[in-house]
Amino acid sequence: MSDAPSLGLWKARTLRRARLRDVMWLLLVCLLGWGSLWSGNRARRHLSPDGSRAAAAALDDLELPGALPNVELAGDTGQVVRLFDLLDRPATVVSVYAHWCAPCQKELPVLTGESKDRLVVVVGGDEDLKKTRQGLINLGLKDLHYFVDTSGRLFEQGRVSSLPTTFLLGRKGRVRDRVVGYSEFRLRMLLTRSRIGDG
Amino acid sequence: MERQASFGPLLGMKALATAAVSGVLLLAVAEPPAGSEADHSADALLRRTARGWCARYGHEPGLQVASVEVRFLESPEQFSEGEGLVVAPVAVDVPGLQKVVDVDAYPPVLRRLPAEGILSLAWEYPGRSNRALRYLGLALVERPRRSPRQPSAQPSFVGLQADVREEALASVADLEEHNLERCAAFPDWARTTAGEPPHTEQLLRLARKLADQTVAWSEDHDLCAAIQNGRVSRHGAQVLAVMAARQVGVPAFAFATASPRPARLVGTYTDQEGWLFLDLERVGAGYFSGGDVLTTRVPIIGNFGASLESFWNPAGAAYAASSWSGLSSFSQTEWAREGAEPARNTTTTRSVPLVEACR
Repeated sequence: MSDAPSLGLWKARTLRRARLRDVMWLLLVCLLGWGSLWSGNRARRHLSPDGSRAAAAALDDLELPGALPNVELAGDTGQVVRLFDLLDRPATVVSVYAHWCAPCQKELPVLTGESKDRLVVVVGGDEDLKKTRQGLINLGLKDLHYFVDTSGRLFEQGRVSSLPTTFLLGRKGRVRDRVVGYSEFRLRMLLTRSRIGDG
Repeated sequence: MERQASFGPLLGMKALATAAVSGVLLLAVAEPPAGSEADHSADALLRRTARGWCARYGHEPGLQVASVEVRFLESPEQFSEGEGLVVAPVAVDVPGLQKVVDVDAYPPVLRRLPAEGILSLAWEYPGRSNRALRYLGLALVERPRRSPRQPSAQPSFVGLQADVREEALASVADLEEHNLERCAAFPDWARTTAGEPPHTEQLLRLARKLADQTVAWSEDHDLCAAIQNGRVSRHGAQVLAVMAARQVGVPAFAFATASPRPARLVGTYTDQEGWLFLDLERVGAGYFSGGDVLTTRVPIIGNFGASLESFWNPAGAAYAASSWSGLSSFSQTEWAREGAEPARNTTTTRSVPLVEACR
């Protein structure tokens, strides 16, 4: 009989201690559990790192670049110029060309025929310049000058992923239109817009 | 007695722990709590955005809010696993016809993608596991209310801007549209059906003829066969109306509108009245101007990989890069009437005057 009150007190103390400790552990476990589940659930609502990279690349392909950078270009006669110096009209056609690209051989005569005075031809920095010149001679354009994107920045920021790519640029490199691939009608539209821009 | 007394608190602790862990699990895996965008109805989100626009742009009567809601269902038959982009057109900018003033979206977009005036929104599609996905695009647009118009007796279109004119007259040969350039019967069919000028009457005759031949569903793969069989789908009717009009020298575009029902319009220009429209499902109502927000204007002359049938179909879809053809859609939605049965992936649209949306 005499032990009963002291045992009750001991148990009560043990249980009180246990309750506090357990509550602390419980809170910690709950917090960690909640954090991990919350972050997992949040991650589920977004693309994975690989998915994000693929999406960004796809968006870059879809989006018309706002402007081309004022890059240095090496002329075929040795002079170095900046892109904006070549954009001395409200609308200039910039054609990205390569001697090995079959549609480019169809496109360039169309452009030179209709807007030689508004045309800038650019080739990639890794192109064979002798073959490029020969390609132009083959097209009957031996006097046509071209520029080399030695830094590759025009290709990169213009998101040139296939050839031919033809831009209609405003004075400060603003991209007003872009034609990827060869389409006679699209080129005609681009040239019409270049004339309106000039007018 | 002692044992019973000591188990009481422990049982209580167990119950508490179970309740706490269950609560944590529910909180963590539940959809975002009320107040976050994804859990709101399209209507509530539209009104919230509209109130902000009212404060910023005032209550101009010509301002309308277009909403485009793209929904992918969770059911295994509808859901496509994968990662990519959800892209949907929300409104088109056409000088002198409609101007996009502002855009908003839930959840926030990755990018806004303008292409030939058509503004599309791009969201992420994190479809690694089955779950419902919902996207809402909102556009504030300047466009007058709809009013019936009677074209003048001798309409002309010499005042149409040179590049728009060239685009509005681009033929099937220029655009290789729906392979109609290979259809020997098409030029004759267009000429016979359109009849003699004025050009507004020619377009009206084409629209009437096609409205009579439109069936709820038809194979659209061969429009050349469709004109010979006299059975054409709604989509086919729109393509044929526009391209046949151009074939006979009528400047024309096709439009989709952000209406509660999928509405397919054809439009032409007159110097006297500006742009005039015909609703291919209500040709009897005649020409009108203004109306619901225009979502797309087709045909486009370039390529835009993240569109269904080069925007002839204005519904949203999920796209991913494929090794052989750039972007391609791997989960499509159906352009549906608002409140359509929720058994399919759908894109629903509507237009609300800004003043109404703010109330």
